[in-house]
Amino acid sequence: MPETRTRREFLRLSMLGVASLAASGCRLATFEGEPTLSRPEARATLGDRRVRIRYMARIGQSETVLYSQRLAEFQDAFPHLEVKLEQYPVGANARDYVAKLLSLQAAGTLGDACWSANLGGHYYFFAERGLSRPLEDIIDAASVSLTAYIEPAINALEYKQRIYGLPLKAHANACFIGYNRDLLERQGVPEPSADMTLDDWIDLAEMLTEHTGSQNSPSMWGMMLSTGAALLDNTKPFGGEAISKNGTTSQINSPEVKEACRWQYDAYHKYKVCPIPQTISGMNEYQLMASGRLATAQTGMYSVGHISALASEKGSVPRFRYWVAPTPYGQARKRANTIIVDALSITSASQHPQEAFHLLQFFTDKEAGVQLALGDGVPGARADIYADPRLRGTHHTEDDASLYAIFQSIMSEVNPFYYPKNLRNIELFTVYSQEIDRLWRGEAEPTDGFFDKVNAMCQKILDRDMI
Amino acid sequence: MTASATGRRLDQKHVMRRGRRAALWGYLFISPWVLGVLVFSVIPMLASLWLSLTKYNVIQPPTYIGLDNYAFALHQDEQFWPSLLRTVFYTAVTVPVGTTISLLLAMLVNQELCGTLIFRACYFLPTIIPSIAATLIWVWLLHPGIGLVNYLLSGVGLPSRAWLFNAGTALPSLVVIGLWGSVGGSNMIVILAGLQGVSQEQLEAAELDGADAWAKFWNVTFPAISPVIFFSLVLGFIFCLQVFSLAYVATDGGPSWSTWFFMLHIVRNALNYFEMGYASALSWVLFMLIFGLTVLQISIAPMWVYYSGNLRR
Repeated sequence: MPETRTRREFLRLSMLGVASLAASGCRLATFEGEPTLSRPEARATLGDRRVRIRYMARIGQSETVLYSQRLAEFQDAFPHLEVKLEQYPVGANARDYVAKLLSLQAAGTLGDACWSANLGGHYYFFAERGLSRPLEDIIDAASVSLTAYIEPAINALEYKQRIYGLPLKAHANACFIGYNRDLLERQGVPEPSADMTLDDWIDLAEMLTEHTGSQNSPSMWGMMLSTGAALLDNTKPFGGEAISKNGTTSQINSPEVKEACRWQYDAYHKYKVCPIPQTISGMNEYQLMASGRLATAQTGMYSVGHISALASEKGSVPRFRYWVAPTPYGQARKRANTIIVDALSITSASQHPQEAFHLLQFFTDKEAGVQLALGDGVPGARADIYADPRLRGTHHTEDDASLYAIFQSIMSEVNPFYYPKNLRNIELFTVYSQEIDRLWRGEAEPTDGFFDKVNAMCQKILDRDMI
Repeated sequence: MTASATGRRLDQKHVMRRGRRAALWGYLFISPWVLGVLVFSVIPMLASLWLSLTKYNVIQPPTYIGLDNYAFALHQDEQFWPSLLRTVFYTAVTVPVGTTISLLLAMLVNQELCGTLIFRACYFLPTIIPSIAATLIWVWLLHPGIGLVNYLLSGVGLPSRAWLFNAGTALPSLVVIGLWGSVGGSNMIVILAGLQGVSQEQLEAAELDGADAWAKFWNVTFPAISPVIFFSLVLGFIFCLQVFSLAYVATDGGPSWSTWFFMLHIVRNALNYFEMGYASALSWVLFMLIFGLTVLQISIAPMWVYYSGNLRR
């Protein structure tokens, strides 16, 4: 009689089988060994050093343009180095990217090189908390001169008198008035100029705004202003600073900042030349301008590539000529702009800092800077880029040589970036967007009480301990 | 000792040995699940309890600070109480309204009419749409300028609203989005299953005794499905108090903090402000709130939940 198996025996055997399979899939963690080389013939010229550099990059950002051509050039120039490109999501204010790096740090698997920026404060946070390493020793050993980079960018990357990264690119935030040249010509309105004032801009916008639709949805808006962290820019023409130079005092209720906010409030609610943010939410200045509903907009170098692509697309939107002027001077003889710098840093966990520094240099040299400019418009942080002939006729603006001349003139007088001493930038910007943006939406009025209340909230953040 | 007593003792030992062996196999079979709960739930919870007593920014080792995080939350954090109250408000509206609508839908689709199956499928469809995708669609539907909702409202002469971009209407808008995605889903299905278990004999007996529709519902149907309603409420409170993705995707906590929920406050502190220790403390506050509320619901359940075979109080 054949032997029958019980269900319990069957289950036992199944479990043993599954456990055996699982055990066979496990193996001891091993060192990955020597990295492969990009060119076999290079092995003959190598010493014993062949190194893999892990570069933690951002997905889908403007520097992506470097990862095809420039990275290949790097591999050719440094055959003994292999770059492992790891790309992570960014999120608003780079929060996803920073969270990823913190996770890698906590797990002890941080790579060799990373991106950071000054605006969100994480460049300084990485420096303060030892995620990135200072570069002076490597810079001195390599006899590298930082004078090739523009001075405001290097100044912005100095933290406690040390430098923790090389500037990948730099711009002046929302420093332009971008406009539809064809539209202004049709309306017989003079173009914005470099010496116009803020009130001139309001007058120009009034000439262009057409309230043929409902009051909250005109057929044409004359201007659009940046909000949120752009407060840092827009207070400067009035001589105001949202935060003190040493980063310990909030100055939201200073007379200059109040005047700046009231000017912007009037643009929305008194002159009605500027769309209230909620009516256009989800649409940016590129789309509004391309659809013929916006004449001028406060924007930055980061928009040039996008809007010029829209302006030149065949079939989907009418073609129009796009041009820019610097944001106007205010009574303080300053324009609305702030130096914003993206940096490449070497992590303190890197076992190959010298090799990683080669990558930093390669991605921040003139050629890389030109490639960045050919991408979305923001060039590298070097003055020798602006006059490169390849930048002419690229972004379908009237005259790209003049475009970068305008940009260069802005960068020559760009305002410094002041940030909280305790590096709680994101917390502070959250208050700006949640509270001050109420003015633009019409949910609050720019009274002294309003500014005192918001200032108290900001000061509370600045009084906290280091992040 | 007699031979029979010895024999009985030997038998008992044999039975106990077999029982222990069987128990060991049982423990072995449940060990993967137990291990998973320990590794992925219990140990992280204990770790977060420890971290809640520290200042920890992930990059550097945690520094013990005692109950400072809890003190800061209760007395100094400007968004602690508002975000908590906002979350409680969202839950207090969404759960009862959602359960009521689910009950009504379940009663509707419990009718043996032609096409009922199609309606069941239609009501269930929102549940199978990923919540992020659904939220993004609603963001566009509720857009002040080009959204379909305002277009339809203006078509019938009603005023349009800024919905998600006005502090007064953002939270109610999220309540609507949350209800849309949940009322026809598992809530409705579970209640429907409960309705289909209601005793027809009792309903007929009630009808014979002269009970009208409401009397039948209140005295026969509702007690019969009260365990299901209770289950739905308990889970509803637990999930709604942890509302996060709606606000994260649709409004990012704005405008003017109006949708800054407690869970969003935790995530911001943890991942954006680098206050992992403080975020852990906030998480434990939320856990204690949910735990306390669940215990409260269970303790008052005998007052209104009726299990068949028990007398109704």
